[in-house]
Amino acid sequence: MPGNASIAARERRRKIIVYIFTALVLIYILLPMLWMGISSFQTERTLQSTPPTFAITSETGTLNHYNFIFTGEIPPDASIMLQAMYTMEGTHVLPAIRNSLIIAVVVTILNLVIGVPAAHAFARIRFRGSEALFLSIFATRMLPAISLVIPMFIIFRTFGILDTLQGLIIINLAITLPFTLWLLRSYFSALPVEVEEAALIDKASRLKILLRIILPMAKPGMIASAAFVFMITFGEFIFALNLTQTIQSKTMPVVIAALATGMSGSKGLIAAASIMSFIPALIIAVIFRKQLIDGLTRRFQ
Amino acid sequence: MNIINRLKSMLNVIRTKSKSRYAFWAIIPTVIIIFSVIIYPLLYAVNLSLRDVRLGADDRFIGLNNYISLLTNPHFQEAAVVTLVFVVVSVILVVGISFGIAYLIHQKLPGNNLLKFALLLPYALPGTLNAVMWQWMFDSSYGIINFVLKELGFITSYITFSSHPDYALPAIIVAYVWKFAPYSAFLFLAGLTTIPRDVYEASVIDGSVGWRQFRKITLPLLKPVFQLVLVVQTTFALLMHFGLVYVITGGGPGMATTTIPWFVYKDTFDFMRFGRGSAGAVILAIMMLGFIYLYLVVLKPKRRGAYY
Repeated sequence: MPGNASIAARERRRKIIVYIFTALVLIYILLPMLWMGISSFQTERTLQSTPPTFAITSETGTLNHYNFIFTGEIPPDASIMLQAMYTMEGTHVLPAIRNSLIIAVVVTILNLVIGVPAAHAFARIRFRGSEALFLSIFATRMLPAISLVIPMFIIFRTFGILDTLQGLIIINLAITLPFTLWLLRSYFSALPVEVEEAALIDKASRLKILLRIILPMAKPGMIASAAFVFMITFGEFIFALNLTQTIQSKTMPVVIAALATGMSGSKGLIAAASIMSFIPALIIAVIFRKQLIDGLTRRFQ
Repeated sequence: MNIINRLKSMLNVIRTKSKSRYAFWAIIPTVIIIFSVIIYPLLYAVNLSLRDVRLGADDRFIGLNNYISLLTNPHFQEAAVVTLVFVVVSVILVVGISFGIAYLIHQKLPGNNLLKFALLLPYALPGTLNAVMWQWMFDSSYGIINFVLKELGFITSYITFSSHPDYALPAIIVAYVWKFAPYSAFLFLAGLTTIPRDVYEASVIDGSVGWRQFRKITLPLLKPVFQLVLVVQTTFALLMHFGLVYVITGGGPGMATTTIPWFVYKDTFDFMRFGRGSAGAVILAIMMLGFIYLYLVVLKPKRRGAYY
């Protein structure tokens, strides 16, 4: 049967094309990150040379950059020029990651505590102006950070909370809450309303309904919004850049940017610091990939 | 029957009361936070923008002078052009690439899940790290992009992309597109999966296959997704490129990568010119509100679910 054969050939050709493109896309996405990872394990001498070297051998490989981040020890065999490249910012990497983690975790928890009841109320209770209120809150999500950072700087200075973690927590909470509300409302709305109605007829309080019935059902949605909020907060740059001054409150993006824009920073140190900084977000992405992908596609369902 | 009805209406009264009380206490913390941390500072910025707030200035009311000074500033106008180029080119590239990737995943061949997970990574990578990563990719001595271009014979010697007047903005665009195309790919993928199978089957019977089917069936049905992606990506392009400019080019060389947010930032914090900076901030906020209006009113995102 020639017809079938040609269909099979066509199908095989289609598959090959799809595979080739899939491979290209994977290279496009993974190569830059892989390149950063390889670089972080190469000696400064290798990284200062041209053209780039791809292999990590006993000659080109080193753990010095990571060692410096953890211990602050400048490699003993480093030349004077190289010693100067291990700048103070390098020792700031760990405290900065810690600051970012504290802010991100606290903001994520507060988001759920404050955002879950609000999203539930917006999903299930209609009152005068409820939709307008919801949309107004949602609209603040699209305000440019640069518009808020100027008044924030002055207000923070007045209240004396410049350069504190508390200040950054407040800001990040306010800019992520609209996102949480919007995402969680879409999850809550998708749950069957009948279950809640039945519980209401049984005279269960709404708070009890929320805690006992909704939360278990909406678990994927809550995980997704928590993961998103964590990642947004962990990477927030503009507010942190302008509202922090010392390593007491400087966050990961601020320190990494300072390292990368410094004139004489070690390239290996920059690469190693970047890899270290990506790990928290990477762990979240790996563990919660299902919920995150579902959350990302939710926008159009 | 009568008794049941009366009981029901009594229950409704109790319900309505507890309902609005619940709604009030559930929503009020959010409203307070949004008002005090977002709305109040925004109004504060409007106030600042109407006053002469600089180092050594007398902080008096000067009406719209800050706005006039900003809008007539040739550097601001130049920044507006750079912003327009950046946004238009980035959005076109993001839409093209993300749709291509989504279409690829939609072919449902093994390996899809790996691809989907890989797409999550650029999204998860913090913006500053993305900037550092691409700074490294474009590096003038160790950069892999220079290496590949030279090996392929496109260039004869390595280019310093970040300080080259013609290549600095494209470098920023490449870095931006890499991080944000995957996000839209998920939106397109969701859109593609909502097209029912029988639509395709019917189109095959009508003789539409391959490119014809794609053009006549897939694209028209995805029009709402394209609209959504266009609006969302335009707002993202306006909001999310700051870290890239900060790390990779610092707005240079000259004004080549100075966008409006970058200009406002430099103008404000380098010279402590808070009045004029606030005027810039307000102009940006108004621009964004325009897009929000477009999104909420023109596109009207549908929602499902029932109220009590």
